[in-house]
Amino acid sequence: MSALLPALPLLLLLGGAACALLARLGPQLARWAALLSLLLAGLLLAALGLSFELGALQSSAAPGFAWRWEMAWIPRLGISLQLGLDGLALLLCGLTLLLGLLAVLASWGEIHERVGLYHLCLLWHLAGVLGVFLALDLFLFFVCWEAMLVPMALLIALWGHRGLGGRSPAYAAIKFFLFTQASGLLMLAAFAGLAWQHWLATGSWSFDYFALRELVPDPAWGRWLMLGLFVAFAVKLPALGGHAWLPDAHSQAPTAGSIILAGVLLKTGAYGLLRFALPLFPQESAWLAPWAMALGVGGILYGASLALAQSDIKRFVAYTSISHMGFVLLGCYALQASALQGVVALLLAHGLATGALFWLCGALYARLHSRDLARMGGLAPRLPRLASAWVFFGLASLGLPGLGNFVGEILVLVGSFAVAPLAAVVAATGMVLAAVYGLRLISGVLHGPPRELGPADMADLRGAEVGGLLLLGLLLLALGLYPQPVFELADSAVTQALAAGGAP
Amino acid sequence: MAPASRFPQRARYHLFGFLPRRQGRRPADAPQAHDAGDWRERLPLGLLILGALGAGFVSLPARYSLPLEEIPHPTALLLAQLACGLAGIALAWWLYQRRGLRDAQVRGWRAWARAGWGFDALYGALLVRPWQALAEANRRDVVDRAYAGLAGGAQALHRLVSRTQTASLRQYAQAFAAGLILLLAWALWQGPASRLASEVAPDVDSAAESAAGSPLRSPGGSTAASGPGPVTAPGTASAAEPSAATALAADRDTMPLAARGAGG
Repeated sequence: MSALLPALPLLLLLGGAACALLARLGPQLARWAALLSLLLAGLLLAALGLSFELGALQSSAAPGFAWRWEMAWIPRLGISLQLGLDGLALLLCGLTLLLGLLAVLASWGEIHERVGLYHLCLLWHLAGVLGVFLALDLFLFFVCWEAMLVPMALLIALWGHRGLGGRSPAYAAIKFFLFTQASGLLMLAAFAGLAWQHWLATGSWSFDYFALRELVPDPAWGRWLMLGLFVAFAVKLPALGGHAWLPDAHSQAPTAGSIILAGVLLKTGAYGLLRFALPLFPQESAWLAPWAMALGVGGILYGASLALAQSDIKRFVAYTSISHMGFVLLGCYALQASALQGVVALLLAHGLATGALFWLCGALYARLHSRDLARMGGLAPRLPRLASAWVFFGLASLGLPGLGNFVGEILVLVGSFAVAPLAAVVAATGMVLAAVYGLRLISGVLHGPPRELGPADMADLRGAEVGGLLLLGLLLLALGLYPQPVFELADSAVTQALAAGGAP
Repeated sequence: MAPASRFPQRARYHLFGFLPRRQGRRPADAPQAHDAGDWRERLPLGLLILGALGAGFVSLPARYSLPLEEIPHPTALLLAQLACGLAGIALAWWLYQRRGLRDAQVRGWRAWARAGWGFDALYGALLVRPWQALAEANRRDVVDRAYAGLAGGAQALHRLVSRTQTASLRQYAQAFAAGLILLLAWALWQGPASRLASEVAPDVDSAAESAAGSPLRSPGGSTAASGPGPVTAPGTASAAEPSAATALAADRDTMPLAARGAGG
């Protein structure tokens, strides 16, 4: 069963190659191949997940990891191909494959050029993301981190749209690449530093996650190594200050790219904090916590403020993501079990809700050929199905109780209130501001007098689109009404993140 | 149901139509007012009326929320409570009867009350407008501008440097020669001192603890001036500009140079 773990990313890699080859016979074949390989990977993950034993191996060296797979790679440096699946990884891999499926569906009618290469990039990117969520070797993690970067940059550069002030897609792609690459190098330096510390302590190099978690790095180096990791993950998250790549990349990527960027890619940053930055550097993280929480609160307010001033709907949604990721950062560094559980719930809910919003943005663009909020309005009677979906996911994004985002945000607030009341109070105003931008997003697109924008006989959402959105909506509702299974799955990762020395 | 007709339905708002956006508060083509005539409107209203009446008779057991404690109820207090409630209804009725007033006739505190005691204006001035102004002022994202400035600076530097790439061999040779002259001049005049700073100065701290027997480190710091160098330096410490010959000679043998330079 454990041998199925490497099959997950491999399936997508092979699927991507198959897409590129089959596209020579016809673009439709490439789409079906992409859909099929994602479905197969989904079935595989479901098989792994169904035979999952919660609390498996609690006493072993790898608590919570129900499945592990390891193969020697570069033994001289203590590098191995090591994958592991615990509850957190299962949830995030599931989110990745689900949004990947929807991304392929969203590209069905949108992408008509170089279809094979497009699906190759999409699937290889998703393979990298799966690798990130599964890797238990730090070097392998870094390799996957970089591997998911290139295909996404290509997706933006080759199939992207023009952005703010006529910025070319290449501009957004290069910006995205530079930000992630530069911060990724810091991460590599931090990982190498940790391995070196391991060498100093034991005489052998190791990039093994569990070995390094036992290691207490030299205090003089620990803070710098931790900061290297923190910067890498904070740029990816993104936290305030490292967010400049996000609005351009999100707004200029093709629809599928935006769905994956917002729904999956941002989660890798949060996952890195949860899986690596907190457990590997417990003392240093406690030292950084007040600053990181301040950064999180700043991000909440900054994102909410800037969202309100955007006229491009995709840019608008992108800035709301920055606001939501502020909650994630705040929750991570509250170093409280409830806040971390809230972070996991928020990650899933944000992936579902914002992924759906970007899908709808793409659907609007396909009909109106515009993303300008100032020219929209009055679409509710013209596109009733799209309007209902827009209202639903808009409300989910602003944190309506009963939907997933609310569960995440309220848990983050409750958890952080226990340690930093002021930060929690200021962050709570972010929920009010979310209502402000959320309602503006909804009413700006749907209400008001009908405009001339778009053809008179616009088609409403079609069957596949309705089905996909319905699935996302139901999942959000389930997460909002009964989040307990998610908490149980994430429990071992949360416990591990706090076990090594954070607040009780 | 009679009062229902007195409250005309002004407009059928959409779920979120209450948010004004560029457009006026009310659609111009608001439907005409009509009474709740249809059974589909009467039935739920009737049920709600019955429910509201019935809810009044539901006695919630107070022991769930209040302490089990007998509280005295003076009759005067009870009557005052009742009177307050009735007076409120009477006031409302009186105000309601005078509803025929046109907007222009409503002045003073009534106008203020009609405007919601000014709360909208207060929130607008305190919260909404500053926030909107802030968002508007930072529309282009100052953080992004900072990164763009960084990129712009790098590009400007690139353009500046790429100007030298003229493919003219003569210019390259000139630049090469000029650079070489500058480099040589720097090496001759400043070189010894800066080399000294980099070689001797960092050792000053460690010199105290390290073995004093090392010939290079023994003269460390200012003591070199008092003690004679192990090898006689050709130039004296007072020489401001050592000749090229002495500098080159010193280059071959750093040790006396260090001793001499430290003296200067």
